[in-house]
Amino acid sequence: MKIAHHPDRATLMSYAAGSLDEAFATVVATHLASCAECRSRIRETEEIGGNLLEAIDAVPLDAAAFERAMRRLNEPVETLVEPEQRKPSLSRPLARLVGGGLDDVAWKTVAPGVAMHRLPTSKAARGSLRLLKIAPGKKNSRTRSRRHGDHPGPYGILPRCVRTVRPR
Amino acid sequence: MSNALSSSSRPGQGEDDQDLIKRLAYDSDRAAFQCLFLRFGPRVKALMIKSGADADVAEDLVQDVMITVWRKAELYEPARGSVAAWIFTIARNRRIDRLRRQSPHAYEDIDDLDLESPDADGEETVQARQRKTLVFEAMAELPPDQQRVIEMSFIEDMPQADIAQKLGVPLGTVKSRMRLAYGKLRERLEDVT
Repeated sequence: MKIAHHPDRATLMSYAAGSLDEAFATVVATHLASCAECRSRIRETEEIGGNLLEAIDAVPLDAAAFERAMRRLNEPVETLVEPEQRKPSLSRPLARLVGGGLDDVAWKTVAPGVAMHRLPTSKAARGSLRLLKIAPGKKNSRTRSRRHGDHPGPYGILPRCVRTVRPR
Repeated sequence: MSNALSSSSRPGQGEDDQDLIKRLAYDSDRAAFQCLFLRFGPRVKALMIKSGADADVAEDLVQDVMITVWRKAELYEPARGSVAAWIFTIARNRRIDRLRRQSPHAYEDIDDLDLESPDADGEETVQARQRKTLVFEAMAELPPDQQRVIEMSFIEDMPQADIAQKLGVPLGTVKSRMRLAYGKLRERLEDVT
């Protein structure tokens, strides 16, 4: 699918800062996984974090901090073996959440030509995350299809977050 | 040591950092690790405290972040950006996980993407190094209200809505300050590259 819409610049900034909510961050990550241009913008923006980290007023560490770290260097490392499930149609952030492939998703039809599946998020996430499957030619009215372009088909798969406002 | 630390906040120190990371990656050089630990550990601790951690949690997070630096050193790709930016991203991901109790996967998946493509030639590496300095200069020229918004989001880990509330301005103002800052940064980088 040709990408017709890129995240807002303020959104890219907040993503790089790490201050987006999990559901929204996943939507942005899904875009980034397939958009090298935005990814390199993110790398540039992360230099802001690098510079601020260098400029921050350092807080002294516990006297034994380095020795503590040295002891941990010898600990065995647990590595997660990830099942290779990268179907070409699914980027990594989504593949992880969907589990198997798109065929395994329990879609729920919410409107003619539009099916939805709720994706898991952490308990502390403020918004919920849904995957939408939109038939060719259908407009996704809630996200203003003009900005996203029409889906050339066979099906458009879009992650969307629904933000609920909850006190932190 | 305080002298070494304060002088290291100058941009242009990136070359030294990259040497240290290389020594870590290729020789498992513990002296190089100690240098990085002393240079970045206290800064990561400060970052975590500003993000709302208490001193003990911040100290734990420093451990996690620096151990990750040790273990992932060989995956560090200079073309991707400066060592400071790379360590910031590791700290950011830990912060999401531990302080915010949300999943950092959305970040880790993307971080690894670039680590997997070592297509950097020498020229790209120089550009990446220069990038940090250019970003530093662009940030220094920003008006204070834009600087503040950036600091609140990168250092204090505040969502846009919380920043708006704390500053008593509309959300749109926060967004536009971020966009303006971003634009300034792009301008600066495009002048050179």
